[in-house]
Amino acid sequence: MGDLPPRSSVKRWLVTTNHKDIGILYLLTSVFFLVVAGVLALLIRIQLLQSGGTILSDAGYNQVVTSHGFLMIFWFLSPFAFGFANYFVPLQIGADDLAFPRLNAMSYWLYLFSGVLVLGSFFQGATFMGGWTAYAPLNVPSYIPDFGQVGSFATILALIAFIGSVTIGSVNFLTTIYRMRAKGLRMRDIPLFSISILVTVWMMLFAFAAYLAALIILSSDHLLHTSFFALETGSGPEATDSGSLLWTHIFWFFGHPEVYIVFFPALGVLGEMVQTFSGRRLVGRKWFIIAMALVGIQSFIVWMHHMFLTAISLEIKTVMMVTTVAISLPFDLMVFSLIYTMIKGKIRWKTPFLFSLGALVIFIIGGITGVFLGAIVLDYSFRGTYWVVAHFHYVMASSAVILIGAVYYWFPKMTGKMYNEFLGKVHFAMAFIGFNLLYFPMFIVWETPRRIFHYNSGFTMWHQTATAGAFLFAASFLVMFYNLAKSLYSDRHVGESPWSYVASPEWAVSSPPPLENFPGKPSFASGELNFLDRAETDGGVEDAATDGGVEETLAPPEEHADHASWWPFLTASSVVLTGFGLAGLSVSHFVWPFLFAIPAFVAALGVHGARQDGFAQIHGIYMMLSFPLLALFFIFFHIGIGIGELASMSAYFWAALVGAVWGAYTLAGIGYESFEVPEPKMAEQWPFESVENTKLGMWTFIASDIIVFGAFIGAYIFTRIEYGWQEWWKLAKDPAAHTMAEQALEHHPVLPGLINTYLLLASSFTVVLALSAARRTEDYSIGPFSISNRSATVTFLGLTFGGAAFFLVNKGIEWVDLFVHQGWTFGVDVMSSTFYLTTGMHALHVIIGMLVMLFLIARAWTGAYVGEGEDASTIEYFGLYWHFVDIVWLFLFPLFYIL
Amino acid sequence: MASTKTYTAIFVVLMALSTTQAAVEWLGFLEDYYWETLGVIMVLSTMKALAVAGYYMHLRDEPRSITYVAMAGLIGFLALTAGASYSII
Amino acid sequence: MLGSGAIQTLLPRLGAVATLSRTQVDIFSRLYLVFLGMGTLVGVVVISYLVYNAYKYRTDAPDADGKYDVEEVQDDDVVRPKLGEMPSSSKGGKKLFLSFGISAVIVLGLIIYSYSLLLYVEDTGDVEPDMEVNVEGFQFAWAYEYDNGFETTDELVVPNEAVVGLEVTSRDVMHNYGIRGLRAKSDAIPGQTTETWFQADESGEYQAICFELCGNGHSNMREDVLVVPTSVWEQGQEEYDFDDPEEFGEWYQQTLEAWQNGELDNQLEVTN
Ligand SMILES: [Cu+2]
Ligand SMILES: [Cu+2]
Repeated sequence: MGDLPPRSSVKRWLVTTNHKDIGILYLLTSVFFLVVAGVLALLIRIQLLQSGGTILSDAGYNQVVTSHGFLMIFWFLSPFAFGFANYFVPLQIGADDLAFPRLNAMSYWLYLFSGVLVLGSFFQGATFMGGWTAYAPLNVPSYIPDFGQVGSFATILALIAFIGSVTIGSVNFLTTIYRMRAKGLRMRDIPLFSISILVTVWMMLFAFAAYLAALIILSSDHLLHTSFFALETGSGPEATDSGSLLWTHIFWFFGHPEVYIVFFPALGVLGEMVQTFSGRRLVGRKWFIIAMALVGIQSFIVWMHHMFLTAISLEIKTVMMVTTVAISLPFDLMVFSLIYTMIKGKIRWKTPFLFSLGALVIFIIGGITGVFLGAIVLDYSFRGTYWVVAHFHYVMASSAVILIGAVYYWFPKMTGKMYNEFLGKVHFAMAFIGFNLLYFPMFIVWETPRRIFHYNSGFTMWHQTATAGAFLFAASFLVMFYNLAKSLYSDRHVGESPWSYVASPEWAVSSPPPLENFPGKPSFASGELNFLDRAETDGGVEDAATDGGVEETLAPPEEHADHASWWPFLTASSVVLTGFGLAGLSVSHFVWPFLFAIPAFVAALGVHGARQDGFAQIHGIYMMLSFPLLALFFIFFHIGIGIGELASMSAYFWAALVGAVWGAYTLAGIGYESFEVPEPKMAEQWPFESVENTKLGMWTFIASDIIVFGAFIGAYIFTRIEYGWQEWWKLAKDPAAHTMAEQALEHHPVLPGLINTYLLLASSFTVVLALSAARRTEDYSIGPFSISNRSATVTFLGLTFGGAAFFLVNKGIEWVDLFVHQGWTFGVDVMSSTFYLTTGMHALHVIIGMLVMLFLIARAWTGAYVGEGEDASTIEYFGLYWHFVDIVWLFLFPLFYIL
Repeated sequence: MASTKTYTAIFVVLMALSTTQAAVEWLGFLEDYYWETLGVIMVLSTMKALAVAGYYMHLRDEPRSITYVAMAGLIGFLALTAGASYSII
Repeated sequence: MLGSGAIQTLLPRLGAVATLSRTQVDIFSRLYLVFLGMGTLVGVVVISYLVYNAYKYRTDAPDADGKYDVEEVQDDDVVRPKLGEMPSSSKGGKKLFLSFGISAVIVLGLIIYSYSLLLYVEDTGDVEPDMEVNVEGFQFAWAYEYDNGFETTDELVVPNEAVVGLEVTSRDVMHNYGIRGLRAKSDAIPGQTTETWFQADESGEYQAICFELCGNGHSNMREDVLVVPTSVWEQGQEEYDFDDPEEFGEWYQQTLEAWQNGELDNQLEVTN
C-alpha cells in the first residue's frame, strides 16, 4: 500500500502508520478511557458520601475500585503520555517517523482493542474485582465468585494484550531514539521530553516483561488449573505456601517501576514547559538527566517497600528501606533544578505554566508524604489506609496534571490553532482547587481503610468534601473539552510557534507539521538546527529494511516510504474476538481454536505468497498441506471431544475460533505485505552505528524476553527455595512421594531432556548453516554434485523446522506419559505446575519459531534472501530469536531434568 | 561471520557438554556431592549459553553495546530472583 | 524474633506483667509527629520558595505580533533558550548540590532515627510477650487461638497492660489484620506466618479491621477487640482456671455477655 487518504476520511485513521496520526489516535483514545475511569471514580466518591455505602453493592464496589485503577494507570496515563511521545519524539530528534511505523500502528490498535476487551469484561458477568494489585490467591478462580469467572479472566487477557502493545512500543521507541537522530545530535543533546521517553521505555521493556510473566502464570492458573498462586494443601510439595508472596514479589518488581513509567514522560514535558515559560535554560540539565537515569535503574531494587508487613526478613526490609529513601533524593534534585530555572526568568503565567506550577506543588506534597511511607514503622500503620491512597494520587495525578498542561502547550502545534487562554485558566483553577479538595482531606482522615466503604462516623464531613472536590475536578475537564473543540474551529491561527523562548525542533516547522515532518533533512552538524536539501542527502538506491515484511531492494529513495497499511488494524482486531472467547473456555476446549488456526495459517501463507510473489510450487504445497492438517486436527478433535459436540459448542468457542483463524490470516498478511521503510541515512546512531534497525529491535525484544523467562525461572527458584531446594530434588527422585497422583509417579528421567537438548542445538546449528548458505557467493559442490545456495538455504531451514518438530514430538511423548499414564496433571502439585508451565512456555516459543520458519522457507524458495541483490538479514534476525530459545532450554534442561 | 568449520566445532563442543551434564547425573554424583555437582552443571550450562550467544548469535562481532542490552535483561532477572529468594531465606 | 520458641503456656498473671517503656502507639505517635513537623516545614519552605520565584520573575508584557506570547529579548547576564540550539544548561548547577545536601541530611536523619525505633518494634523492646494469640483470617472474619488452646471466631478479649504477641496467618486469601487505636497491624498471608504485638494503655473497645482487599465481604470484615480492665481479668483468674480452655471459655462467654449487656460500660476507658 502506498499513500494516505486525507485526514477527513475515516479510512485514513484505520490505515495510517504515520507517527503524528498515531499520536492523535493515542491521545483521543486515552482521553476516552480517562472519562470512563473518571466516571468510575465519581461512583466511588458517591458511594463514600456516607459510611456504609450508598449506591453500590460489595461486589460492585470492588469492581469499580479495581477497574478504576486498571483503566487510569494502564489505559489512560501511559497511553496519554505516549500519544505525545508518538507525535513529538520523531520531531524532537529529527526523524521522519518511528523506526517501525507499521508496528507502531500495531501498538496502537492492540492498545485500543485490549481496552475494548477490558470494557467488555463488565458484560461477561463481572470484571475483575480483586484490586489493581490483584493479590494472590484472590486472583485465582477458586476465590472468584462464579458470576465473575469469565470477566475476570477476560481482564487478565486484556492486560496481556496491553503488554503486547507496550512491548512493541518500547522496542520501537528505543530503536528510533538510538538510530534515527539528526546528524550531530548526541544522545545527551536530545530534548528533555525525548530523554524522559527513552528512560521510560527502558523501564517499560523490563518491568512489563515481568508483569507479563506473572499474568501468563495467572492465566495458566485460570485455564489449566496449575497451582502457582492458589493455596492447595494436598500432598506432594505443598510449596504453594509461597504463592501469595510470589505474586507480590513479581507484581511489585513491575509495580514500582510502573510508578515512574507513568511519571517520567510528564517530568520530561515539565522540564520543557518550565524552560519555555521561564525563558531560561534549565539549570543543571546534565544532573537532571543523570538523576532521571539513576531513578530508572534504582526503581528495580526498591519493590519490597510494598511488602514491609509480609513475611520477608528484617535484613531485606532494611536494604529496601535504604534504597527507597535514597530514591527520593534524585527527585529532590530535579525539583530544585526546576525552581532554580525560574530565577531571573521571564515567566509568563500562561495556562501550560499554571499547570506546571500546580503540578509541582502537588508533586512536592506527594513526595514528602511518600517519605513517611519509607519509614517502616510509619508504614506499618499507614498500610492499607487512605494515607497510601492520598499519597499515590498526589504523585500519579501530578503526572496527569502536567500532561494536561502539555495538551495546552502542544495543542497549537498539533492543530495550528490557539486555545482560549481565559478558559484555560478557568480550567486550571477548577482543576487545582478540585484536586486538592478531593485528595487533601484523605490525609486528614487517613485512618479510613482502603477499598472499604465503612469509616468512622466522624470522618463523614471530610469524605463529603472530597466528593465535592471530585465533581469540581471532573467538571474542569468539561471546560477543557469545550475550549479545545471550540478553538479547533476558530480562526486563531498560529505559525511555527505561539510561544517565545522555545528551543526544541518541533517548533521550527509549521503547525501542524507536514506529513514528512521537515522541509529538509534536519541536521545539527553545524552546532545548531539546519535543514539540508533532501536531494543532496539521498544517495539514490540504498539498502532498505522493513519491520518483518518483505523487502524491495530496488526501492525508490525515502520520499516514497509507505505510510498506509490495513494489517495492523486487522491483526489487532483478532485480539478482541480471541480474548473474548478464550475467557469463557474450559481447559479441554481452549486449545482447539488455536490448533485449527494452524492450518489456516499455512493456507494463508500460500494464498498471500501466491498473490505477492506470483504462484510457485511452494504456495501450492502450503495450500494443499493445509487440508490434511485440518483433517488431522479434526480427527484429534473427534478423539478428544467428539465432532458431534461441535454443534453444541458455546459462543465463546466460536468467538475464539474465528478470532484465532482471523489472527492467523492477518499475521500471514502482514508478513507478506510489501511495506517500505528505509534504513536511516545521515543519522547520529551512537552507540549502535553498525547495527541495523531491525537487528537492534530484535535484540531489545530478546532482552525483554529474557525477563519474561527470567521471571518464570525466578518463580520456580523462589517456590523451590521456599519448599527446600534439595528436598524438592529428593521428592522428584522418589516415586512414592507423589501421593496425589493416582498412581505413584515414576522418576521422570533425564533422557527426554537430553534428546531435546541435542535436537535444539542441532536446529540452532542448521540455522547458522542456512544463513551461511544464503550469504555464499558460490554454489556448494562436492565432486560431481552441486547444490545451489538457494536449495541449500531452503534445505537447512527445512532441517531446522524438522529439528523443532522432533523436539515437540519428543516433548509430546514425554508429556502424554507424565500427564495421562502417570496422572501427573498440571495442578497436582506445584512441582508439576512449574514443570509444565515453564517448559510449556518454552515450547510455545518453539511453535512460534516454526510458524515463522514456514514463512521463511516459502520466501527463500521463491527468490528472497539468497543471491545478488538479495538480503539474508531476515534469516539472521530469525536466527537470533531461535538461538535465544535454544539458550533458554540450555538452562531449563538442568533445572527441570537433572537437578 | 566465522567459518563453517568454527560453527561445526562449536556444535560438537555443545553436544559434548550436554552429554557431560547428563552423564554426571547418571553416574550418581548428585547423591553424594549435591551442591558441588549443581555448581558444575550450572557452569557447564553457562558455558554453552556463552558459546551460543558469542558465536551463533555473533555477539563477539557486534558492538559491545548490544551485549550490554542483553546483559541489562539478565541483570534484571538476577535482581528479581536474588531479591525475592533472599527475602525468605 | 518475637515469640519464636517463647510461647507462654500460661495466660498472664497481671501482677507480673512485663513493663515496656513504649507501646506501639507511643512509638507511632512520636514518630508521626516528628515526620509531620519536618514534612510540613520542608513542604511550606519549598512550596513558598517555588511560588515566590514564579511570582517574582513573572512578566506581563502584551502578546507579541504573530505570537500569543511576549517578544523575545536577550539580556546580558542570562542566556535564553534559542530555537534550534543545542541544549545546554543555565549557570547555577552547583547550587543544586547545596539543596540536595540539605535534603539528604534531613531525610537520612529521619530515617536513621526511625530505624532505631523499628528495631525496638521488631523486638518488643527485648521483653517476652505476656501472652500469644494466633490469628487466622478467613473470608470474612478472624479466628483466634489463645495460649491455652481456647479458640473463637468472635471478639478478641485481652487484659489491659499486657504485652500481647500476635501470630497472624490466613486460611484462604490474603488479608491484613489491624487493630485501629492499638497500632498493631500485620499481613495475613496464606501459608505464611507474620508477627506483631501490642500493649493497651487503656481498657475498652477497639476494632480489628481487614486492611487488604479480600473479596466481597471485605468492607464488612471488622470485629471488636475487647481490652478488659486488669481487675476484671484478675478476678476471672481467681474464679476460673485460665490454663483450662473450657474454663477460660466459660469466663470468656460470661465476659462477652456482660459487655454486650452494658455491664462493663462504666469500667471501660475507650468506647466506640
Ligand atoms: Cu513502590
Ligand atoms: Cu479484607
